[in-house]
Amino acid sequence: MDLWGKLTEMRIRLDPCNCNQNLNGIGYPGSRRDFLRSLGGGFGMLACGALENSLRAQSPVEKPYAVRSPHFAPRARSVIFLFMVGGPSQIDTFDYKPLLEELDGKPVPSSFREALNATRHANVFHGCDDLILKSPFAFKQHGQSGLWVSELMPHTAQHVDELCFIHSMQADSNNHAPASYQLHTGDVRAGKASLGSWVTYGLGSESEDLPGYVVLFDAGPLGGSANYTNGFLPPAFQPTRFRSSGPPLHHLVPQPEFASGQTQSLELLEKLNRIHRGQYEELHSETSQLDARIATYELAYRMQASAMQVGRLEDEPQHIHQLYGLNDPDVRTQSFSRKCLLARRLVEKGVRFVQLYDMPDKDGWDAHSKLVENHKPRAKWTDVGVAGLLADLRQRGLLDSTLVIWASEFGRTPMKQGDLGRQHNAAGFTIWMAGGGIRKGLRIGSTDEIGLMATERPVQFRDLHATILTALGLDFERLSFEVSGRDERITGVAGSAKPLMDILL
Amino acid sequence: MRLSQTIKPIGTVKRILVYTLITLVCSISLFAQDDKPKTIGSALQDPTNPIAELFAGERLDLWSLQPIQAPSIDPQAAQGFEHPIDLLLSNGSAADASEVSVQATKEKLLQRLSLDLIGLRASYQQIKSFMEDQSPEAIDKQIDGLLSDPRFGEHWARFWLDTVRYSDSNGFDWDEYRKEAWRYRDFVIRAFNEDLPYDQFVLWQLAGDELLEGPAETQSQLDQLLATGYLRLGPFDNAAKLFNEQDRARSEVLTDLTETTGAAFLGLTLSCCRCHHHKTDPLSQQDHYRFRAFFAATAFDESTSILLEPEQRLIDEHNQKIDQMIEPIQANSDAVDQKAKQERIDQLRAQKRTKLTGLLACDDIQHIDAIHVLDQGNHQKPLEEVQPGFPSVLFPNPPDIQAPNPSKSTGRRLALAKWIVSKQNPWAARVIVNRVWQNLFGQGLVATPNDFGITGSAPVSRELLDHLAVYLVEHDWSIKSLIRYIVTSRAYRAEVGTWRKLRRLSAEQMRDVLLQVTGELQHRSGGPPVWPPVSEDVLQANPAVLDDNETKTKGWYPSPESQLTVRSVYLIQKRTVRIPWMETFDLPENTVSCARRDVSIVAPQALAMLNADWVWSAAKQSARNTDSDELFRVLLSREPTAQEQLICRSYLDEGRTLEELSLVLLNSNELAFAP
Repeated sequence: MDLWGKLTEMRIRLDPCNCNQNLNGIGYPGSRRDFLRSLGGGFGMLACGALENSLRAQSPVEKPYAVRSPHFAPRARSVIFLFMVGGPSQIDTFDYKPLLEELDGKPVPSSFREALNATRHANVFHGCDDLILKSPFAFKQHGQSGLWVSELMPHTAQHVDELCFIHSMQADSNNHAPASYQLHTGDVRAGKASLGSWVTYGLGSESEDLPGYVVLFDAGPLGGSANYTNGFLPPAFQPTRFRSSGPPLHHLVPQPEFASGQTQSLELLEKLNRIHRGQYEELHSETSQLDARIATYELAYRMQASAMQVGRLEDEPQHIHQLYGLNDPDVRTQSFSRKCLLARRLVEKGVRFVQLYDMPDKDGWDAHSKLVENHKPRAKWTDVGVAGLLADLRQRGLLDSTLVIWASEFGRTPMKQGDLGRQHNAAGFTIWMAGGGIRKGLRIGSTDEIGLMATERPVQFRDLHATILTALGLDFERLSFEVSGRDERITGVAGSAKPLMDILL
Repeated sequence: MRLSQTIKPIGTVKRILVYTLITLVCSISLFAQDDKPKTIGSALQDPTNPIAELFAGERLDLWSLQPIQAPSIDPQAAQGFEHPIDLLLSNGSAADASEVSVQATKEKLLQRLSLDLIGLRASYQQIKSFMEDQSPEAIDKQIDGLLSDPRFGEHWARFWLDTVRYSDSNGFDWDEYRKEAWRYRDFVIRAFNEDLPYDQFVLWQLAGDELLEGPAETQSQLDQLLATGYLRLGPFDNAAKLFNEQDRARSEVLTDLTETTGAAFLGLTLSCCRCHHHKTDPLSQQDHYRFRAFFAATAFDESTSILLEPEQRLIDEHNQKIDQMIEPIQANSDAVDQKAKQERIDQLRAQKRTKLTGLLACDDIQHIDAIHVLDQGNHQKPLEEVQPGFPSVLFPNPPDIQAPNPSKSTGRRLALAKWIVSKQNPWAARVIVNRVWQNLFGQGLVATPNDFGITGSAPVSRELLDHLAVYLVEHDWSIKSLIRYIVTSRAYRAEVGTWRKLRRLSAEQMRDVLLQVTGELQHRSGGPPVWPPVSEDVLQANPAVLDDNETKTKGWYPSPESQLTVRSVYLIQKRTVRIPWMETFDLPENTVSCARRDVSIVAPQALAMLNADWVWSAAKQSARNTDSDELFRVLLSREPTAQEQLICRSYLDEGRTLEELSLVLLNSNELAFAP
């Protein structure tokens, strides 16, 4: 976790032991570290091209929390990633397909079936009935842009002129965890680093007393913590989980018996630690780790206040509560809305990346049966909070610097499954982006006429990642980390990611 | 032979001529009979080696390709050095002998040894009696004591479990609990405690099932089977079948086995040549798939019992008896009350005991996957088929694969395992001695223990690395002998400095030490994992936990409070829900091999140490019926200094309690770092 690190660094230089295992010969004579130090300027002062890449890869390890300048002028400063867990249906929310009305109850026309069968996504048919199920929700055009939104999202629809829809997303797996891992980390296998970790690795944190990468959820994404993990990146880029009610962090509140004398106790601790440190100083041993740990106690003390403070949503005025839907009678709406408001408060304080999940229970949007009963409440729980967040960011002038993404691991089939449900669909689905450097009121890509498969301009998660990193001023090819001799990137090692430059301002 | 016998003595010149002729004929006929392809040499000698050709003779100066060679030690130079390790370090990269001249104090040394060998602290009493023992063997006695302590295995197993990405669950959506995975963990602990030779340790994990003839009758034979749990420890997407993605899941299992085996046993980055030829090392994409082909028949063994034969026999006999009782009832067609008859049968059947199966692997000789090179690593895009083979830079020829029992297994994994621990293998011994060195010094002689390639670190001293590798092999691959050898060097015993680093304790050590010094730690020798209770909002990290199934594998099953204070190696390790306190102290991701723990020092750790319920309750426990001096002795294994006494007294005079003092001492740097 990466709290208060910036302050830590002002006091101490992190010890080589904090470094990634792959740095050559750290601590031993003649190491790369010594070499760089011998150049005199320390990190950040070197700019010669050949060294730049290794420096960029190295300095986040040396100084994980320091603000690092992007590779080029950024369009966005921070990210709020709204993750709708379980696969909301594109054809019932944002991807309007009038042909489904005609085909309702009929088999899938063979042309669509054959086209899908010819691709790696043929298994999307697995488990479905060969029957089209039309959308039970009415679609309407909204705003100046005239973009289509279904009746499920009336509040989001009001902001449609801020949004950019990508209707042609594809995932490599049709199963939750692998697809979700891929959306978070770029790989269907667990063990890689998540986007939030990459971004804080690339840019550091702008907050002096809050973590750079925060996750918010009631229940997490399918596939668990491996989604939002730092993976192979150093632990400094772990996410910190905030809770939107009660103490926002684990272990934040002292035991009552310890709380009253906490200041004296921390003073005593520091005295004892300084005596202990003195022994090593006498031996001329490296004491930076000891210093670092002493400093963390001061910071921990301060953080108890600052984290509590950022979590105090009741400090917000009533009209803001109203805007986000905090007063809604449904606790699940309240809960999601609180997270949206907390996300805004965190970003306002300089938090770099907020990953927010809508999961209020074990199912998410995974409507294998009873699409209406599943999607209707979920849309209601989330729609007002999302719209409130967009409106609030805009009114505070934060929307220009905050990239908001609404996405899920996949969408759903136009074919019926079970009792009026829909199967997973990794072959074509919709996400949207807004704010921070994204063109407004736009749609790109499209699925076929039944919303089954992306046909025009299919977009892969790596393209999405490349786009997000580009918006943040990071060169996705240069943002790499060496793991066992390989330069890992979130966009993969093959170099085939294509950022969607035309949706960037 | 037959020809030569017919030759009669004729003149010398003629004899030579005839002999030459015969030799020629023989060699020609030999050549003609030989259907096998021409033998290719290592790329270091043979330019026709495929790797030599592929990379145009480059990349071959990689140090780890060279055979392991014991350095000759010049007796002249050795003067003044008590230990070959110190000599070789001083010969090595610019290390100054004076660096190791300042030796750690006796107390510090014992504390260091204790933390490094058993993962726990030496007590006040232990240090006191060690200080009083002035005999020259005092330290050796301590080392022997620590090496034979059963807690040694519990500590040393941890690094291996990291290396082989140990977890108690499947990962992915459902992250099902693997009920018997702990038996593999216990095997590893036993292996270290009993000093199982490392070559056996390797053979058993990769091919224990192939080595064992007949059912396991002793614990050691059973361990050969349990060791194959290694082959099943990787993540497994059990839900893939629902979406017709079994091929992807199978391909991922094989990829995991190839990459983990390459990294863990050989320091080879086979993950880098899955999609294309290696970018820096002399490894081709074909090499990845040749290696993968050793696992082509590997399957989950769901039928072999993991109980020892005597115990299993009892179960079988018990079940046979029940069958014998059922038979006449079933045969009795005259029975009037069919319902009662069926009830009786069901009743008897319910008394049957089931066979216990576990996390074992075997070969399925009916289903040997054809292994193809995969375009960009994509299982949907197979290219040419390949046969099993070792990295072709040194071992380009087809391996000799002999199945001990062809009706049971292919012999492929056994061939791989035997090659790994063979004298010709330049990696295996170096890789393991480097890991041992890293455990003792905080950093390996090669700083990248899973990467002995070109972008990995070069060894600080190759002579020393090779010296230790030879030492290990000559001492019957005994890890304990190697540890004893290293910890008797001056380099190990030196004050914190060039070689020895201050090291923050790992998550497991930190928790264990807190429990130990407060008297809360309970001993346990193996068994199923302990599940600490965690709050609902933590469990929700994976929603599947909220949706437990009939077989009780998806939920979280808190253990009774009386069991919670065991060592951390026994705590449940799921892949998608992690214990927050432990995670704060840098638990590694357990889906891929972890070569070395990252260490961060951040404020949330301070909060976890100050505010966690269990740390506070341990602090309170230790503060009962005591005074502040005694707290120093119990928690820090030493007397307080006069200065410390003074500041502690004034702290208590301000109205603070011994409980609070205890928590302060538990938070001290002295406890958080291995000296």
